Amino acid sequence: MISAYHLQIIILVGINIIMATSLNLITGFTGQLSIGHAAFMSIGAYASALVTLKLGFPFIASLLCGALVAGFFGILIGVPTLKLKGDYLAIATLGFGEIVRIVFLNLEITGGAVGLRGIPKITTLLWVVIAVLVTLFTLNRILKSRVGRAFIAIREDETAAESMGINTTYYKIVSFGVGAFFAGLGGGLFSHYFQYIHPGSFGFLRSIEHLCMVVLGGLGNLWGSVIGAAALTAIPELLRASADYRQLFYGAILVIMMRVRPQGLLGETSVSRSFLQGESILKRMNINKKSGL
Amino acid sequence: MPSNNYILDAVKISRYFGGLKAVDQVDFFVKKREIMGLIGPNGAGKTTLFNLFTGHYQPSGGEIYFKNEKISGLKPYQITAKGLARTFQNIRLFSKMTVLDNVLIGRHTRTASGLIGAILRRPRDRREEAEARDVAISLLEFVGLEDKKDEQAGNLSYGEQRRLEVARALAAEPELLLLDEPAAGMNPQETINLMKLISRIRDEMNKTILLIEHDMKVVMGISERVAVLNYGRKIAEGTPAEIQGNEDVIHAYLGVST
Repeated sequence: MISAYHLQIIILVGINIIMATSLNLITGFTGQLSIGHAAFMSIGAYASALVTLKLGFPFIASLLCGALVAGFFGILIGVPTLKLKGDYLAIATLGFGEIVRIVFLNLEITGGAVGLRGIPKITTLLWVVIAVLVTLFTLNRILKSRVGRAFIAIREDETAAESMGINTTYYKIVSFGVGAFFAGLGGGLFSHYFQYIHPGSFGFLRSIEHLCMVVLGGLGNLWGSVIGAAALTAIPELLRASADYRQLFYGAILVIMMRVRPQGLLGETSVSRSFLQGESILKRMNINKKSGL
Repeated sequence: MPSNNYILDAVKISRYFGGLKAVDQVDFFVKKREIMGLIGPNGAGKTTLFNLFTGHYQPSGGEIYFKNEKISGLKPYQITAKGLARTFQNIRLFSKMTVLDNVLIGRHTRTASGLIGAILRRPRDRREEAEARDVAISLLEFVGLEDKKDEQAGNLSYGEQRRLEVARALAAEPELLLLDEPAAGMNPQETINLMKLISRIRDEMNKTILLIEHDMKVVMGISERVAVLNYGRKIAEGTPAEIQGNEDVIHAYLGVST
């Protein structure tokens, strides 16, 4: 049997997989840098917890409710901000994240700084596994469709995408909405596992953590985000023994990654293409294939 | 509103960038099913004119009609949906996507599946995707890239990338195809093949073609009509033979003052 401690880590890995893959849809596939993903998570966490606590919704309905409210806010903030590009969009999403946090800090219904307590512990490993599978299945299908191609086209060349008849504003908003929906789902699982949420649970640093998972695994690679989420959830725990140095290791891993493999572990292409064929690694080490390798 | 058999009709169209008159009061029309050339020295406003037709720039003055319907003021994606597609002077492919996916994106305006269709993959979504694939592959065969369909677009040679851009634009089923310097950077053999390809697009697919080109062999060889821009103004228009004998054009190109 696995201990409660290990179970908690596995559940966190699952929630983070949902967070990282949904952020990858927005940032990695659609090319819209967002550093406010935790805000959507918090909206989902609060909304689902509130309908459970105040209205006695069944768990599935609460989760769905949290995801829908988060998705709605994704669309709502997408409309004004997605005309911005690059750094400007990043700053706008950062600002949005802070606004959401401060609103939760001041609202009475969300318990202010104290947060919400006594949320029933309904999230189990099985729920998390199902949610992760549903997320991966849905995102994968979207990405392999006409809609997904439109997302990637926007990332690759927005002007050309528009010339090919893609309403770029519309698809960016769709991407934000879908990404926020799943972030809200992750938030609902989170609040019903830890039973206690407060505005500080979903600060700026958590958004950065999600972004790190995406970057580590590889922008534009769904499976990369799965690995990135698992690694960046588990490694800090493994380093817990040397607690003082934990953040140091964590930072060092990211710096080394960016130096050695900026496209992330899985990069743009699949494992088989860039890793097994050893293409970029060999190039990086300046090994000439003709010299016997 | 003008009513005639012109597929594209621009009336006194202008585009100013600050004090610069990039396109200045140009009257311009393209007849159905013709191959028309647009030439002029560098900076004459040719690409600006293209960007006005496709909605990437809004005109500072004047109006543009496509099939007798006003299109100035519309967004590029709306204009594409009406049947006007383009290629770019500096190739703009989706370079990390496969060759096939590039052409499939060209099908965007002719397909309709949304999020629900993507997730559920209903029979009609599968059918639409399969049809789009068939069209894309036949277009790749048309431009001679069918054996490269699974390669990344960015890995193609220069000439292949230009042909892929043409296939991608054709996938949108345009009635009018705008080609911005399609022969740029091609070697002589590739250029000859390109000229054949352009003629086939008109003859076999019934398209109208407007092209910007610096290679005079190409322009004079395949165009039925040629317009010349200089400093944002149209200085001549006529058959290739007329243009080649036009003194204003010779002066514009050779820089002799009149």
